[in-house]
Amino acid sequence: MKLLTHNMLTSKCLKGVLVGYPLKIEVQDLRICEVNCNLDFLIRVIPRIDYPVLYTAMETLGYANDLPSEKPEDYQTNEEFLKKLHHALFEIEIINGNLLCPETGRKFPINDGIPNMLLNEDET
Amino acid sequence: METPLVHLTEIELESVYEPSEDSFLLIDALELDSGYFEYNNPTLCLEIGVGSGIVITALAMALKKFCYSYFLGLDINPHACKVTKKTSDTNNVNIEIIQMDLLNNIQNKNIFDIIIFNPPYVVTEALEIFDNKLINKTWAGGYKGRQVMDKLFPMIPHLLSAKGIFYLLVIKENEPTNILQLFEKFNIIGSIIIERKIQGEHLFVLRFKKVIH
Ligand SMILES: C[S@@+](CC[C@H](N)C(=O)[O-])C[C@H]1O[C@@H](n2cnc3c(N)ncnc32)[C@H](O)[C@@H]1O
Repeated sequence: MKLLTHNMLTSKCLKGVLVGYPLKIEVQDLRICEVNCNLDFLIRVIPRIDYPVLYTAMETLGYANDLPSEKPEDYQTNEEFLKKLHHALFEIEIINGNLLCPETGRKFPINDGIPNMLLNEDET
Repeated sequence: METPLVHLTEIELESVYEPSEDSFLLIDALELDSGYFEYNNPTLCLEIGVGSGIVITALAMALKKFCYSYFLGLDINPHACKVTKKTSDTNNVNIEIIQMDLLNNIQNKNIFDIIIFNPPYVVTEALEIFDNKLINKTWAGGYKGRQVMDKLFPMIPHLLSAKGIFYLLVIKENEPTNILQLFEKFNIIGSIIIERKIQGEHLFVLRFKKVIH
């Protein structure tokens, strides 16, 4: 699972959960994989992500130094920033670990890169 | 569109949907719009109920020729998730995969430019959709074959981007005209873009877009 995917996930469908966002991350195995970077694509992606949530995820993974805590104003033309953003969104992969509901602590396991978000009937 | 290589083992076939006429019609429907994609560069693409992963992989392979995009595939069936991963790897595309019930864990943000769903559409007893056998979940649609897709429809307006397109495969018994009317209430207009009669089934692909004011 890449961090762009984490950026979209919520546990709000759990009974009693109000926001359920962002999910916390626990990592067991992580992989860095090289992916071709395309600046046009990144510029199209930026308006669709929650930047503070991405930054917090990077912090959790111990990579706070690899991304500025705030999106620079000139992000569309700041190539150095876009490359860092590309790395954060697409090159870091969580292979095994857990996602956690921020309100209830309910764990959603990630195995082999695939998060399992299914709930039992009595949880919804 | 190029057809991806898909290989399902006997064991996988026990629970994962084997690519069939409906899968291919959906790929043909996407192909009709490839000119539009080339011009509009879809950024984030989503398929619900990926099964073997054939449809989203075909889309990823086609888009790769002219733009960068992100692909997310969901399925309630863990085996389908694994097979989709294998299918995407075999065909050298990158697809993110999550085991999920419909769109239950996706944030309500209008970020997806393409959403695809080939739902369990076969008309069955209402209770059949609660059968836990995973292979039944590939086809059992309950009353009018609509029970699973009807649960998804209200979520679409919250996820589709302003220029986003939703592709839905249905059969005649699902009452496509009624589905088109239902979406009008969400300010989303749709039409039939392709249909095919095969033995025992009349398949349609509906395409929906938001009405821009
Ligand atoms: C008709 S098959 C389509 C498979 C594949 N997209 C294709 O076209 O070949 C329907 C798929 O939806 C999945 N599915 C059924 N109910 C679901 C649900 N509630 N949430 C997510 N996926 C579901 C099934 O596991 C199955 O893979």
